[in-house]
Amino acid sequence: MSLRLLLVEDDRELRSTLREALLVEGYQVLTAASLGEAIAMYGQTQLEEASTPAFDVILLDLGLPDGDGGDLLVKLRRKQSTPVIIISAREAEGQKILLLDEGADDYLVKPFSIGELLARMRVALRHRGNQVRAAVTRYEQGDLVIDLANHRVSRKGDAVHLTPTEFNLLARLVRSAGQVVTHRQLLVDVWGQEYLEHTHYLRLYMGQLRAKLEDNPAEPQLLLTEPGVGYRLLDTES
Amino acid sequence: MNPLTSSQQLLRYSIGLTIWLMGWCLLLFFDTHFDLVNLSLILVLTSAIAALWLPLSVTLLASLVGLMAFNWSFVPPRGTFAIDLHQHTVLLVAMMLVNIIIAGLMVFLREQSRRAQAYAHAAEELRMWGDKLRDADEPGLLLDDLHQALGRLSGGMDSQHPVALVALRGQLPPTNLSSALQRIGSVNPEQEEALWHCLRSGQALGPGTGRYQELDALYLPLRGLSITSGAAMISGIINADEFPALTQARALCDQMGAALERHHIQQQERQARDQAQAQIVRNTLLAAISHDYRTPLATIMGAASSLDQQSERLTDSQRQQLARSIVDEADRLRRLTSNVLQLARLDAIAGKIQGDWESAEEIVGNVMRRMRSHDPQQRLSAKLESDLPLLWGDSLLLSQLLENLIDNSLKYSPPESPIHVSAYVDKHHLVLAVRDQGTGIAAADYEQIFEVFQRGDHRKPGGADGTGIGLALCRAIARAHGGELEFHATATGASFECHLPLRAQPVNPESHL
Repeated sequence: MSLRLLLVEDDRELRSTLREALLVEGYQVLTAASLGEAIAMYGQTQLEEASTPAFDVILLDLGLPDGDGGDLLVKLRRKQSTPVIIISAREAEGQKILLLDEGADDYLVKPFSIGELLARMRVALRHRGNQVRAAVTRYEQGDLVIDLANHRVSRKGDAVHLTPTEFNLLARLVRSAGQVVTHRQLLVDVWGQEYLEHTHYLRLYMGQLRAKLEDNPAEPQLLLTEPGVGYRLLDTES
Repeated sequence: MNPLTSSQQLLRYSIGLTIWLMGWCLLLFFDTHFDLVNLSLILVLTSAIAALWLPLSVTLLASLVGLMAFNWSFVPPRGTFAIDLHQHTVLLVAMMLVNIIIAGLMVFLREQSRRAQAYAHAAEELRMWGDKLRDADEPGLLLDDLHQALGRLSGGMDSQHPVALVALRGQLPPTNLSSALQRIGSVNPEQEEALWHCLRSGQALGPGTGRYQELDALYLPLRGLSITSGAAMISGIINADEFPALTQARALCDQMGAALERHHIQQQERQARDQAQAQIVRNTLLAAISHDYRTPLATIMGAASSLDQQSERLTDSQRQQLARSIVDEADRLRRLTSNVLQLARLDAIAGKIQGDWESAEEIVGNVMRRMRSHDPQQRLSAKLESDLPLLWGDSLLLSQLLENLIDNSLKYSPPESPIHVSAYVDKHHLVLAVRDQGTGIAAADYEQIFEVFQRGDHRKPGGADGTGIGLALCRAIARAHGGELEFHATATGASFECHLPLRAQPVNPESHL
């Protein structure tokens, strides 16, 4: 059975272009041009109750003629965990961080390429699966192996020694591999709520992790920076 | 002007009376030595000298009393007011007339000199006031001074003689709006109404002005040549024949009005000039932007219309090629749009960025990863000093700066020549540098590229392909971080360096954990 996708986008050209491209990729695509239409398609009951999700993934534009796409995200997240990818022309980091913290799975700034969109969707769909199955405890990429269950990290077969904080930070990124984790999420999960303002901790520990895990820290391949938003561990399948 | 205070008056009376006393002492002393005519001259002298200090009425009274006493004491038969000889009558009458004339002349003279002094003082006050207003950048701040000067004119600022000033903050509102006025001194609603009337009509009201004579206070406009910027209310200034205080008050107010008007006109001029300058810069920017947009748009249009209209005659690889160029050029447009947007944003926030602790390693790493897709020949390499301090700034802006510099080098250095990106500490600055083996941009063009957007020079709207906007943005970003973008052309190539000031580093987390 093909995956059901809801595309909420008010621009006709972009909507039909994306629709065609996603149909080619084998998705079953339903489109909505406004917030009202999207909510109607979802069905009020399905939106606000923890029933079987009507869609497998949602692509959501923010500036819609009858409201902000972010409202739909907030409504949806009260009960459901359907992956939501924001597609917007707004590139202010503040907005990105806000929506990611509110539960968006990813945020793509227009214009973006189809390849980029498909990659982000794949990651989002895989993480949705994680909530049903056991969480990711193992990450392999090139010569790097991270085994969360056994607290072991090895590179080219040699064990890499990490401090407890470094390990916790890496583990948080592994659990969301391929997805952006905002500074806020990292600081709260690794250090605690009271360290929200201490972004310089992240700079320091991410630098240490890159020194231990990257071939060339000046050109990282695994521990990627999303300027002003957060960090992303390279997806294992890309 | 100069109303005598009671202590001054007392002093004058006592001097006058002392002189009379001394005169009488002399008379009594010389009584037996001199004859009557000589004694009478002493009396005339005393009266004349005392007139220098005493007011006219007192002088005349003193003369009369003195004459009667002289008659009593010295004119035979002594001890009575009777006069023996006719010649003594002539003497006394002549003495009285001389006394009156002298006293009158003295008082007149004194009054003349007092007036002259007062006029000189008033003229001096006006001159100083004029100087003060001329030197003031903001004449509105001198309203307090004017208030005090008018207060002195009205005979001290007590509750019986209130003085109030109002000045317009901006444009004259269509209705009497209290908040539109800057005010000194308090007024009742009636006075407020009169002040507004005076302000709107630009004419003086109240006693001595010929308009609304029945008002109990004087209202003067602060009036320039064409606009009235405020009004003053002065009470207790009505003694117009004593001294023309009204004229003085008017002159002070007129000077203030002229200064306020001059300031207003200067402000308008400056605003107009700023607006014109901003308009020129905007036009230049728009010209540059539309020029820079045309090139990628032309490529996209060409490729897309070719795919649209000639599709069946193209080979697969040709179609692929066209599609690829559409993607590339669209990406260029994206970058250009982002540059224009950031430039406008930096302008709007006047260079006040929202900073955070950022790592140069992450900024370089992020940009390197993104630029790799534009670097199929692997020309880029990055080298970072170890243990670089953290930067305080906006990572998105700094990434954009570095991306623009690398993009610039990729375009303007010889194909396949290497490009080095580096970050290092130089004294109190962290330097992000991009070095290539090209000639870069000729040094002369460099300044022009930067200045073009600031001066509003139409001659050369940036280099090709948005270089101008890109570099202008780089410099704006560097400056917003308190740093500077520098260009160095060397024998082996060109380098763009962004010098960013270092701050005291945040506390190391190890001390907490």
